[in-house]
Amino acid sequence: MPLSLPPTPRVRPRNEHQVFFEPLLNALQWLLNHIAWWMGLLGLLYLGSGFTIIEPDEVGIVYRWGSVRDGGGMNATLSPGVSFVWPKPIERVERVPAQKVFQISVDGLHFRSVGQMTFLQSSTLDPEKVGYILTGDGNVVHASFGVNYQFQDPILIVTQLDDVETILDQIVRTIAIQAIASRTVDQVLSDGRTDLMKEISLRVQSRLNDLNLGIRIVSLEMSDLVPPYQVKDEFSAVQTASIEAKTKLQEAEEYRAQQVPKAETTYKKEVSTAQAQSTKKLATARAEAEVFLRLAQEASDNPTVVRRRLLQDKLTTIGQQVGVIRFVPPPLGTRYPNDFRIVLDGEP
Amino acid sequence: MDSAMTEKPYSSQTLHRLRMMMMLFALLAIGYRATTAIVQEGTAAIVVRMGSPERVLDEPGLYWKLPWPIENIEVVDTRRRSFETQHTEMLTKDKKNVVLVSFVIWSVSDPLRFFQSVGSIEDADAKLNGLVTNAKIGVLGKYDLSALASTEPDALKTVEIESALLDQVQTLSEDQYGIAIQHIGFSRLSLPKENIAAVFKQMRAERKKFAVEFRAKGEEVATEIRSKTDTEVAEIQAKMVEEVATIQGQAEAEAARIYSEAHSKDPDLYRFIRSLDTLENVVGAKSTLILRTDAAPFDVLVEE
Repeated sequence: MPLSLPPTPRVRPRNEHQVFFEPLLNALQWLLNHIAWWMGLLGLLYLGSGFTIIEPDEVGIVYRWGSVRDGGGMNATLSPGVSFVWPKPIERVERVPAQKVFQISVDGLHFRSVGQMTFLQSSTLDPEKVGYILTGDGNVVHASFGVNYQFQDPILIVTQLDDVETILDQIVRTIAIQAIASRTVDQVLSDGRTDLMKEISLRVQSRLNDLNLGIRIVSLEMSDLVPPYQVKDEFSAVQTASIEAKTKLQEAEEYRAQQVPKAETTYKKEVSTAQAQSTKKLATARAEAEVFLRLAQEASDNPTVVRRRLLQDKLTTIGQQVGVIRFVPPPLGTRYPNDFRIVLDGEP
Repeated sequence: MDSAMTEKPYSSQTLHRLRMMMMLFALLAIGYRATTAIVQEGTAAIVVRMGSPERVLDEPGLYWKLPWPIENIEVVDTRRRSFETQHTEMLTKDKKNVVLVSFVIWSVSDPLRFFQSVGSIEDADAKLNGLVTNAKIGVLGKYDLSALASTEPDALKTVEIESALLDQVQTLSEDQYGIAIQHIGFSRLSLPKENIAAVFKQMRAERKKFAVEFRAKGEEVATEIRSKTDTEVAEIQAKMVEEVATIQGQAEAEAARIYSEAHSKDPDLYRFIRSLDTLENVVGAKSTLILRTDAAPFDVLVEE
């Protein structure tokens, strides 16, 4: 009996395809063996995607199946911090920077809105290219504004307005046109500017409220307000004339400020001097009167002596004042005492 | 090793479960997408069944619908938006040309009508432009230019004009296009290019006049101040002279009284003293004093 080998079990040969996918299929096998765990984990991850972080300057608007949750009530928004909402597609959160102050420039009524400044060389303005405003007295000015605003009602703005900035820009322009069209160019360009800006700010906010746009104006400033470039020189000339007039006025005021106090000082000085002289005169009068009274008293007792003394004193004084003193001899018949002779100059 | 190679890496039952679960998820996802529609805030949706509008979903929320291609959803944006018309030159009642640009704040009020008669936002802008421009020409023709720009508050009628425009356009846009117009305003008010040169000429003349007026007024006021100052100074000086004279006069009178009161005690002595004083005052360096040698003071020398 020939020796025969036992039959070899038939092994199905594996092709390259099976070798390549084997680790993957093994992994799937492992996953399927633990499917409950994995489903639970996926469920948790899905729920975890519902956590959302709202930044300090934001508010989160929650939509449930596309509609603002709670009909826009208390539960419609999320405050800053970590919050949980149902994951998509049940709920979604839209973050809105409710505290942020936005800024826009309203340049549509200014030549800034024009890219090319070639119109400056022109003797006219093309209204389709260059923005300006008509004043109430038929002049024109260019004006631009800066607007700072906040979302007063974030839900309304996000859900009911398409483009906040465009609407705000147009409302500022229409109010500015109306306010400036009721004033003269001089009111607009000089002393009435503060009133003008106050009116525009109030009316813009009022119009926004009337239209229920949910926008609050934080500040509205005039960035620029100038006459057209074509008449710039004439406006400068008026300004120069105004400065000259003010200078003349100041010079006149200065003249007044100098002359009136000077006159008042002189007045006080002269009156004071007169009063001093008067006092002195009276004191002198009283002193001299006293001297005279005492002299008169003495003269009543010794008239000759007093009068002689006065005469001699006066002669002494006069003798010192006069240029020439001449002595003359006594008339004929009188004689000098013995052994006494006054020899006059030239007398033999 | 051979044993491992012969072992089946996964069971057919496991694969079956896997396939079933994946299919279930796919079916659920497809079913959800095909049979639901979420209408977002600020939008409305029109359910179109086989090309025919079936119903309007104008409240936000989740809605059921038949799957495509039976029912289709057309979304319409119902948020308020603004549109600016083109520059339009028109004639006012007083035959003056103005160039106006208006803006319109509007929203879709009837999604179905809007969808059927307009179609898209861009098409709506074109229709509104025609509607508002036409109304502007009609309304502005009833007002003078002063209704738009004037320093007389009673003459200004801008708000009235805007209101008239709104009244005229609102009903038409609502009925024809399903568009609700909330506000119409003027975002530009200009004059035709040809008129601006004349405005500049007027502005120049006015500025020149103001410059002359400023200088003249300045001169006038300055002169007035100087004149007033001179008058005031003269008044002060006059008052000063008067007051000084009064003081001096009073002093002189008082001194005279004091002197006369004293001198009246001995008039002869007073006359004597005054004569001596006068003598002293009238002599000077050119005077000559003649003295007799037998008289005082020399007489004392010879007196026995």
